[in-house]
Amino acid sequence: MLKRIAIQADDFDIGREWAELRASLSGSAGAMAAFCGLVRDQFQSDSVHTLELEHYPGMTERSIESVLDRAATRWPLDGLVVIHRVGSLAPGDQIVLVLATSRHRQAALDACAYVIDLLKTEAVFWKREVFGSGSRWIESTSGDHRRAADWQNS
Amino acid sequence: MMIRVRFFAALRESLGIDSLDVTSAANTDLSGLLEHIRRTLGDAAVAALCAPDVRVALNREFVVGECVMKDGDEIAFMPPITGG
Repeated sequence: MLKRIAIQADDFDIGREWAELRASLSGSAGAMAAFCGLVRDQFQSDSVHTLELEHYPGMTERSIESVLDRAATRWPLDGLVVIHRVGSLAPGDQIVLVLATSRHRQAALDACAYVIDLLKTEAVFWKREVFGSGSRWIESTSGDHRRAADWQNS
Repeated sequence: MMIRVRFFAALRESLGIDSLDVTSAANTDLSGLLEHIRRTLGDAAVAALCAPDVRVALNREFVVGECVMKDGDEIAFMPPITGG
């Protein structure tokens, strides 16, 4: 299975990532699924000016690879790609891309959802939201943990 | 031996430092390392590092409980992660 993990400050081009993954596939793959996360402009009642993402080089990649490896044991996948941005991002910016390919659509769709759900609780990132009046470090939500737990139990 | 200690996110900000090189005796464990840190950064810093939600990684792997370090190891103290 093709596996690609990139942590980068630069934006990504979904079309190019999609085309590169597609070009690497053998004829067996029948489906590709994609998820792209964007920076929201609101957190609770505050307007977000920027979102700052910090990571731990080496460990962050390892935490994502662990999620991809588990996805590969659950579904017959041909490829998984995760690109995650770090640094200072603005509302509307792309923050994360997940691509999954498989022989059949359901596996590609499910694997894509599984990877993003587990990244929300397991990937080693810290996020700080900067408002007009200050900033605060944020934590993953109980909803994030519930979705991750649902996958563990399914 | 030399151990590189790293602090992330809110911990890095509250301690005002992102890393620290600690010279210690061979086979230093986490408790021993914290004593070195106490001498350099003070009691409040050690209290922050020992908070129940702080996780520790040795050479980029989470550790639970005690661990013994060797020369060149990297220990990271990490507040709760936000995830991707």
